[in-house]
Amino acid sequence: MIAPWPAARPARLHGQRGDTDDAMAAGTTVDHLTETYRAHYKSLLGLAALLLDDTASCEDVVQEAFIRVHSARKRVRDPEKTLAYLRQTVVNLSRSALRRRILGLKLLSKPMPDMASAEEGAYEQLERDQLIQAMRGLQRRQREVLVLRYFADMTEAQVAEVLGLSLGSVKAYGSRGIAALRTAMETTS
Amino acid sequence: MSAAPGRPEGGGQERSGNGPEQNLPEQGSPAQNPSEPDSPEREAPERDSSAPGRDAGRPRPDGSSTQQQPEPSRAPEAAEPAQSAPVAGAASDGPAPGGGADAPGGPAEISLDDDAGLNPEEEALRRLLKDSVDDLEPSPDSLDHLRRAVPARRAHRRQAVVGGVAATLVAVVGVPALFYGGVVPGIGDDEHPLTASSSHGETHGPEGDSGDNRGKGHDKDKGDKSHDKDKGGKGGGDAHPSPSGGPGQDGADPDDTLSASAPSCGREQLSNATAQAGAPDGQGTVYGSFTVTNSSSDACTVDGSGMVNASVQGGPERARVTVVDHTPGDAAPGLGDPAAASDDLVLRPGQAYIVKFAWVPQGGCNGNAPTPDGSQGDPEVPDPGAGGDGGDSSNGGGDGGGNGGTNPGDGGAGGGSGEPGGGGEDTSVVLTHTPEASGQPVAQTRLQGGCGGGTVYRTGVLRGE
Repeated sequence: MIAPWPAARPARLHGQRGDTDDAMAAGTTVDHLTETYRAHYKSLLGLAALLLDDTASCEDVVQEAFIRVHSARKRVRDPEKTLAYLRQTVVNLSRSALRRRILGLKLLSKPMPDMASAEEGAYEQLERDQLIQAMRGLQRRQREVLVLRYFADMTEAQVAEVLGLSLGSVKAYGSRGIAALRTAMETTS
Repeated sequence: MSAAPGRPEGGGQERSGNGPEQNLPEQGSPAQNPSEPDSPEREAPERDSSAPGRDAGRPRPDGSSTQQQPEPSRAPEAAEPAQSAPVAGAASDGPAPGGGADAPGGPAEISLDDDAGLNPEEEALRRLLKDSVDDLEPSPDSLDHLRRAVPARRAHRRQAVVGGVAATLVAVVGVPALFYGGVVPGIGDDEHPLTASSSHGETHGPEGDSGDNRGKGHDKDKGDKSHDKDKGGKGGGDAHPSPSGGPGQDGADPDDTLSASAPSCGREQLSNATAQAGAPDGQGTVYGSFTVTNSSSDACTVDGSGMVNASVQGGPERARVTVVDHTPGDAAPGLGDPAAASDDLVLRPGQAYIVKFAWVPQGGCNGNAPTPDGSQGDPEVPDPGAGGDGGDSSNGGGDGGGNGGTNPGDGGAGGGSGEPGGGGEDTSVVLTHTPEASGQPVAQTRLQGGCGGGTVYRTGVLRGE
């Protein structure tokens, strides 16, 4: 009878911290999970869709990122950093997904096989999107910079940190990416 | 393409505001030859080339205040986006068409705003990117999936962590213990009572009787003594005099001299053990002993007195059995003088040490229960379950008696941990002895009559005959 109490109370009070106790962590994570899901899932889905060159694995990547971040207790301790962790993980997973696809390996185990059918319309549309196609023509680094900088609205310094690049590289990739993008868009249109 | 050269400049200039020359030249000169090589001088040439119509743009460098003049001259789109990020007009137009017009505007505004704002082209890109994936919606069951998957993954991680910790512990604790246990004399006696009593914890707690207190007092004595001796042992020959001089309790001086040279008994050396228990005396007390023989061909030192554990078997209600150290004046005078016990006894090959014990049952069964075979059918035996099986219980009694005699220590572990709900058997107490060097019991005996619990008094290590 002693254990549940301290566990339950902090969970309600600070709904977002999951550290000390198991029960507490479990309770908060669910709340925290739902919260972050509502707040960020969709945008992360977009992030993955822009980073990846195929839309089929977007949701896989985002799911995996959510699972990874939320199952690591210390990462959910500070809710303000959750989005940063999630973005970082999506970027990393997208990169490795790309690498794996290059190697001809299958990405991640598909958690949700019916995902594609449910959202096929939107994903199909995405495939036809001119900008998306142009983005896919960019170098990976350029695309990453542009997506993080403009889609995720990160500062150049943040982009540099997430991508592990210098600030100067970020600027260079960004400007080159925009130039390449413009060229691509103009030729197609 | 005509617009293309102009635009990169727009982007380039914006960035150049931050730290232009360093970055661009390093990185991208190959890719963007036209704009980047120029970067040092960029501002002047670019503006000229990019926007001839930009005459308005040129003056800006001269006076930033003039900024706003050029803007009105340009398309209104250009001005708006700079100030408020989400300008619909510029974005919706799309980068391609709007870009040409916007490009010049971008650099101008940015040069003032620095990072704060995006130039129109960037703004357009931003909107386009967001629009392009705006239709993506999470699949309906994605949240549910996450709710299941996160705890599962966490459990997975925890297992991995626990496994890692366990492995580390084994490595950190176990490996040194192997060396340590074989070479260095055991840790003081004071730990044993704790271990012994905690190992059958439920039997221990409530009984705050005098037996415990006495036991503890005794422990302290022993602890002090053993500490002294440990120091002596570790110190080698030099320190030797101290143990003999310290407590001076055991008149085993010759052994002490030997103990400096004889290594501690290892587990395999003490594997040959027996247990015996006599018949209950008038008060129901059963005396018995464990005999552990040095089965190796080398002399060795028995460090510490090992553990005696009692576990209650049979009977639905767990009788409480406490194991305490024998002290003068306790309920087991037959155990002799506690001071006779030795903390580090040297066993020559074939010699044995003895740990005596006395089982003093408690409570209403006192009169009846002690007899191993006798009073099994007694109604007072508080075993409702067993009560139904009269025949079984008598069988159990028989078995108990048989086992109680002498049971070689082979099945020590199994017997010791035997399920308390031992079927139809009557309540009995299984005593096991674990030498200091052994990880598991080497001998056990079964005592009848623990129906109401009781106390086991044990001695330290005594020299066998």
